[in-house]
Amino acid sequence: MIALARKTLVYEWRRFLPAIFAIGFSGVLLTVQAALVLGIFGSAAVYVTGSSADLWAGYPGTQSVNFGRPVSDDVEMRLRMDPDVTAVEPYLWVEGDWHDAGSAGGGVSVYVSGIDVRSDGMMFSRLISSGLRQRLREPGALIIDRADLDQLGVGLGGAAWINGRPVHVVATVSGLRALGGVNVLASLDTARDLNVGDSTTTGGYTYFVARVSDPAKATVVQARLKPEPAFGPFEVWTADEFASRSQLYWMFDTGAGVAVLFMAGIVCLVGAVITSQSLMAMVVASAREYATLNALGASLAALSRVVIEQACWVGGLGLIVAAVVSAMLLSLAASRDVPVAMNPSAALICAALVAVLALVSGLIAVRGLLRADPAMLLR
Amino acid sequence: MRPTVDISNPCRPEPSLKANHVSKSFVSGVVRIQVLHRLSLAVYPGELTLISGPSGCGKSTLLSLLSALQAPDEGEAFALGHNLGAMNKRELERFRLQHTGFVFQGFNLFPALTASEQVQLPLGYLGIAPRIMRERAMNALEEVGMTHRADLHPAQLSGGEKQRVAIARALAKQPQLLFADEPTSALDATNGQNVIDILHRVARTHGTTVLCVSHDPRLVRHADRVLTMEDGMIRGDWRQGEPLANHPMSPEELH
Repeated sequence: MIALARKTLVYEWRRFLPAIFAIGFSGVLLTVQAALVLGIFGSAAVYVTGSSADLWAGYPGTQSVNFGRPVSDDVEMRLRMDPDVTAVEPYLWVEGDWHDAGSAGGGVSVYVSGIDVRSDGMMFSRLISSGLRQRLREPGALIIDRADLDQLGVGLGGAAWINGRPVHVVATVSGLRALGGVNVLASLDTARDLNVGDSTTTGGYTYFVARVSDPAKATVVQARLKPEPAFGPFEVWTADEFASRSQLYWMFDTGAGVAVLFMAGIVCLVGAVITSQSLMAMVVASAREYATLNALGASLAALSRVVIEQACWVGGLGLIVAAVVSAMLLSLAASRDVPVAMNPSAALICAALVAVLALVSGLIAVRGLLRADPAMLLR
Repeated sequence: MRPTVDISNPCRPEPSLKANHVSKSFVSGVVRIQVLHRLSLAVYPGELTLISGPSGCGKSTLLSLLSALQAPDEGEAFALGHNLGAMNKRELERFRLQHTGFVFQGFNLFPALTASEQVQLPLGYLGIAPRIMRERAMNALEEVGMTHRADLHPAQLSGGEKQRVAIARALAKQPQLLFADEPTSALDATNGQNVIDILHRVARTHGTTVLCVSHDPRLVRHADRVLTMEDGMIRGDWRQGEPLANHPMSPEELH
C-alpha cells in the first residue's frame, strides 16, 4: 500500500505547518495552565508537602491548612499515647500584618508559621536545613522566600514589624510562596509573641504533627486516633490526605478550578477549530485527486482513513512541538520563581487531550471529502 | 430522423455498456435543465467509442451514468451485464474498483507521489501484494512509454507525460471498462495524438471497452466508432470503414 498520508505530509510539509503549530500551541497552553495550577494550588499545601510529618492533628473539619483553629494541648498527649507515634511537635499558625521601615499606611498580610527549632524538627524540614532552623532561635528572627523580599520591602538582615512587634530576616529560601498571603517562618516562641489576635485564634497551638515508626502505617495509626471528648475537639489526617484536602479546597471551593477547566475547554475548542480548518483546507485542495481515487474505486472510508492518518501525524508532531516549547517555558518560569509544577500524570493528561484534539480535528476535516465527488471531474 | 442505435447485430459481441431510455436533469438555480432525453445506447468491447458533440450536449453526463458515477433519473444503465441502478453506493465503489479505469481532462495526480507510486496507489485498494503492485505499475508505465520517468514527481513531468501517467494509473488495474473525459483537451497536437493512440491500442490489444468523450475533432479519425450528440440525444452513429458521407461531421471538420 502506498503511504499516501505520510508521503504527502513529507512532500508538502509547509502546508501542514499551521495545523502542527495549532496543535502544538494548544498543547503548550494546556501544559502551562496545568503547571500553573499545580504550582499555585500545590503551594496551598506547602506546609504539608514541605514537612516530613506523617500525621496532622487539627481542628475538626479544617478544609485547608490556613483555616486552622487552636486545639487543646492535650491532643499532643493523645498522639504520644499511640505506640507507633515516635515524635510529636506543635505548629502555630499566626496571621499578621507586616510593616517595613518605609511603609506609611497599610501593611502586607503575612502567615507566620511558628515551628519547633530543634534540629530534628519535622515542620518545613524539606525546605530549610537544620542549620537555618537553629538561626530561628533568636527572638524575632524570620526566614522568608527570596521572591517575597521585594513585596515585603526588606533585604536580608532587614528589620520590620509584624502586628507591631519588631522582627528581622535572618535567611531566605525558595519554595515558600503560597496563595493568599506571604509565608514567613519563625520559632514557636516568636510566633506566640506575635499572636495578638482575638481569643478564637490565640490560645493553644493550631496543629500537632507527628511522625510514625513506619510511614506505611500512617493510615492505620490515623484510624486509631479517633476523636475523644476527653482531649477536646480534634481530627487527624495523614499528610497526603491533608495536602490534597487543602489543594482541592483552593481548586474547587474557591471557583478557581472551574475557571481553569473553563479555560482549558476554550483552549481545546479553539485548537480544534484551527486544526480542523487547516486540515480541511488540505483535503479540499486535494479534492480532485481524492475524487479521482474514489472514481477508481477507493471507498470513502479508505479516503477518510488517509485524512485521519494525516491528523494523527499532525497530532504527533504537534505533541513534540508542545513538549519542547512547554519544557523550555516551564524551566524559564521555574528559574524566575514563577510557581509552576508538573508531574507525569498531569503531563500524560495534557498529551492525551492533545491527541484527542488532533483526532477530533481529523474527524471534522473528513467532511471535506464530501466535496470530492467524482462527478465533479466530468465537464 | 433520429438514427437508431443497433444493439442486436449478431456479428458483434454482447455490448459491455448499455443505456435504456435514460434521462437526467439538473437544477440550476430555479431552472430545471433536461440534459439527457430518454437516450438508449450500446457500447462494445474491443473498440474505441468516441462521443462527440458541442459542450453542454450531455456527453459527459452520459459518461457518468455509464461509468456508475451518477444514477439516471429515469431508465436503466447496464455495465458488464450488471444493472447499476440496483447497486448501493458501496457495491458501486466495489464495481468501479474491479472493472473501471478513468482518465480525466485534469490529470489529478498527487503531487507527493512519483509516477510509479501514482500507478500503484489504486492497486493497493485491490489488496494486491506490493511486489506484484510494482510489477503491474511498471508494465502499465511501459505501455504508455513512461518507464524512464517512473521515479519523477508530477512537478517534474510535462502535461503530456502527466496524462500518460494518469492513463497508466487507469490501466494498471487491467479494467474491462476505460472511461476518458476530454483526455486530450489540455494537450498539444503531438501529445494529444499520442494519448489517443494509446487508448486505441488498449482497446485493440486488451479487448477493453474504451469510451471517450471529446469535442476534439482530431480524435474522430482515430475512433472505431463515433457517436454524435446534440441536445441530450444521439444524432449520429458512424463506424470506421463506413463511407464518410454517412459521417455526421463535415469532411472539413475531420481533416
